Order: sequence, then structure tokens, then C-alpha cells
Amino acid sequence: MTKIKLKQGENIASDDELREWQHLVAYHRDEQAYRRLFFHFYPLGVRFCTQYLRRGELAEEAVADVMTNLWLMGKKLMDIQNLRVYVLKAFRNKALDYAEKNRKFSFQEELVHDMAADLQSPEERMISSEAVAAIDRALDSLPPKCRAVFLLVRETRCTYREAAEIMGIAENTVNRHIQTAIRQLAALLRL
Amino acid sequence: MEQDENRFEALLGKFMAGTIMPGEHLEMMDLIGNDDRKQALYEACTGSGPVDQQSVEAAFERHWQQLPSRVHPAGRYFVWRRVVAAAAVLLVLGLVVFQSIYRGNPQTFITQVGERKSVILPDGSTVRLNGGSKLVLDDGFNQANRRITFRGEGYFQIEKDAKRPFTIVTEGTTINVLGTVFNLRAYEEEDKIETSLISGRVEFTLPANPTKKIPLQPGKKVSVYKEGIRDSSGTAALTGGATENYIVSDITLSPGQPMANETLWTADKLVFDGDNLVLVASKLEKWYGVEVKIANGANREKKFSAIFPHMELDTVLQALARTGSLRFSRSGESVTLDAPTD
Repeated sequence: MTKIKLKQGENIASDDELREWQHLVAYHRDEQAYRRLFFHFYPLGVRFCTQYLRRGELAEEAVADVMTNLWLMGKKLMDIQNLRVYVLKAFRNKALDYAEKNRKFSFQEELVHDMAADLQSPEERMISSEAVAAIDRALDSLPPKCRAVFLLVRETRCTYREAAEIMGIAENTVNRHIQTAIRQLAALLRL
Repeated sequence: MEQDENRFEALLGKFMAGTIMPGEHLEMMDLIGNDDRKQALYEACTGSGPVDQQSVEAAFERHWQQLPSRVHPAGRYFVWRRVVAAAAVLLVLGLVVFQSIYRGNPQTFITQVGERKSVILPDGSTVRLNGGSKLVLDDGFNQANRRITFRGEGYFQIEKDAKRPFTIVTEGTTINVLGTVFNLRAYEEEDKIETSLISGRVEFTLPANPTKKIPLQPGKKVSVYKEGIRDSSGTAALTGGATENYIVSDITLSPGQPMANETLWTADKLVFDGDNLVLVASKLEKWYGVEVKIANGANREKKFSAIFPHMELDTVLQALARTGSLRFSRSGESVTLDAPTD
């Protein structure tokens, strides 16, 4: 099988593409399509789950679990109407589940500040390490729930409605959390 | 100043909610200007640092090995179904091969205007095609040669194969490629052909002088002008000798964007990068699958720069109109750009 090399930015798929891969995996057990789904969800899944789980390996495990379930669903996979929301919701549930089981390694709706560092290459880190550190410190100071919502919207570009569904809160609350986050980040970065 | 900050935060809120208008997006970028703190805040809100593909690749390999029941349970029913499916696939493949041999039908990949998709070529290279593109494999592709004919726009990721260089023939240039990543925009109806090299090495030749090989360095792009280079008044003004109708320049990166302007379309962003109205119209046609006419009164050389992530056509047109350089009218699938009324 030819391996597809994905370049930066390419692992963000459109809804149409997701739908197509969902179909190929469900009905044709297509490895290539599954691979693409994995590439789409894995990086943002790990970022998102690392908020809840202190250790990166746990987050990776949680994400892999969710992906495995997708594969095992077979044709039932097509019953999912909005795959993006479904998977993100599953990530959050799985992470909270893991957090419960591994209390000493985890926070509730909290964040480990070096979440972005794992996924960056050394060069990238050097270029903007100062800026990134400042931003990370600022993010760290946000209230946990507010930070979780902010990172979800930022990392996945989901709509407020989708974020509300994934986090199990009202759409207005999502809006409030984002406003709070921007105001606090602005105040902190101004120092 | 205080007002400035409040406005900026309000715009950021809209940006996060995905309800920001293109005009407002430009306003936001203007407000950032050279202000490092605003830039940092903007980066905090756009986030998503670069992804290390190799670590994802490794994670996938591990994951794939451990995936339970990846190989189907060997139930008889299942085996039979697989045999039948395999036979059907072989039959179809046979027919395709048969057809291509007897009709000499070269393999062709096409996108309609308004459509974008990725294709994998038989040698493992991948190409993402922008709207209204056509890619034709030569006979014997991946056996004797790796030669294709192309028009439209494509983001090419070519597999390395020193023995069989990858050759792309377009209307105005021929490009020789050793494994590499680059973007090629070569629509027949546009006045230039633009090749932007992201990594690796390419060489191109012009029909007027096929023996002269012009190499291109990563981070550079070459624009070949079919009618000769025009200056800003729109008259032909060849520079650097009568046979040289190309310009080599740097590819451009906009603040906060994950990749070069030339390749942002692969992330579903419509980009105008100092493009004149004629090119803007052409890009709109390919992107939205509509017909865009330019009225006689409009300034065809007026230049526009903007990045539109996932925007409706009307929103983009409104943003263009808000520059004060044009007005538009739209009826269904047909758009006319005209000089502004004062």
C-alpha cells in the first residue's frame, strides 16, 4: 500500500471529506480512509484530552481507544450524523473516564500547560518559544472550565452550538467562557 | 487607544465564534499592525501549533498493529463475500485496463469548478486539485515515464524516483521534478503560470527555449507570463530581454497563517495576494463555480489582498465592495463586477 504523506495543515478535513471517509470505513473497511480519519482526529484529540489527563501517554491512550471504537462499529458507523461532534464528545467522555480511574495523574477539567510542546518540532519551538510560553502561562491562569471550552473552540474550530453539545453546557455559556478567556488573556498579555 | 483595544477584543470574539466578516477580519489584522501584544493575543486565539506528522505517523502504525479484528473473522460467509468482492474488483479493473488499451484512453482526473479533491497517482504521488482542473497521465505512466499534462491548480507531493523524473507539461511551461512538494497554478484562461516550491527541487523550461533549464529554490516561486510581463498600467513591458517573460520572487507568508499564501487554498482558504481584478474574478469562478464578468468601466488592474476562510460568495463580494474600488451585482450563478458609483 502506498503511504500518504500529509503535510502541515492538510490533516484538517472538510465535513464532506469526513463523510466520505466515514462511509469508506463503514462499508469498505478502507484502511486509507481510516488512516485519514486518524490523522484528522489524533493531534487535536491528544491536545484536547491532555487538558484532563496530566500525562500525555494517558491522553494518547484515550484517543486511541475512541478511534478503535470507531473502527469496531463497522456499518453502525454510518448511524452517526455528525462525526466531528460525536468523536469530540467521545474524547471528552473517555478523558473524564480515564481521569476518574487515574486520579493522581489527572485534573478535573484542568490543563497541563505544556500540552502544545509535545507536538511541536524543535525548530518551531525555538522560533516562538517566548511567545508560546507567555501564551501558555496566560492560558494556565484561566478558570478550568473556561479554558477547556476556549481550547476546544480554538483547536477544532467547532461552532459554539457544537461546543455546547460536546461540553454539555448551554450555547450562551460557551459564549460567556470565550469572552472571559479573551478578556483575561488580553489583560495578562498586556503586562 | 482604549477604544482600539475594546474593538480588537470584540473582533477576536467574532473570530472565535466564526461569525467574523471578511472586512472585519482585515480590520482586525490592521489593528494588530506591529503591536506584539495584539499579535500574541491573536496567536493565543488561533492556536494549533504545527503538527509533527512523523509522531502521528508513528502513533498510527502502533495503533493499526494493535487494532482488534483488523483482519476479518474467517467465517465462511465472510470469506465467500470477500472472494466475490475481489472477483468483482478484478473484473472491473480488467475492463478498465482493457478499455484503456483498446481505446488508448489515458487516465484522467478532473475537478469541476467549485470542487476540490485529492487524488493519488499510480506512483504514490498525491495531488490536491483546485476547481476546474484537469490532470492527464501519459500512456505508460509509472512504467516508462512519469509524465502528465496539466491545467488548473494543483498542490503536488511527488514521490522520489531518480530514475524516472516527474514531468508536468502545461500550456506555457514544462516542469521537471525530483521528489518534492510544490504548488502549480496554470489555468489556460489566466495570463500567468505560477509555480511555488515548498521543498525539494524543480526545473522548468519554456517553449521558446526548451534547452534552457531554469532551476527553482525552495521558498521561491516563478511566474511565467504568457503575453509578456505587464506593468501596472497594463501595457506589455518585458524586462530582462525579449525571451524572458518570467519573474522569480519569494513565496509569501501571512501572519497567523499555517502555510504560504500560495498553498492556503489546500486548507480551504480563498486567498487574494496582490491579485488584479482579472485574477480575482478567475479565482472566484474556480472557487464558487459561478461565472464572473468584469464590466468595461471597472479597473481591471486594481489589486486586492485578502484571506477568506470558509466564506459564502456574497460575503466575499461584500468585502471586496467595501474597499470602495468596485461594486457587484449577482443573479444566481452569474456575477458582474463594475466600477463603484460615487
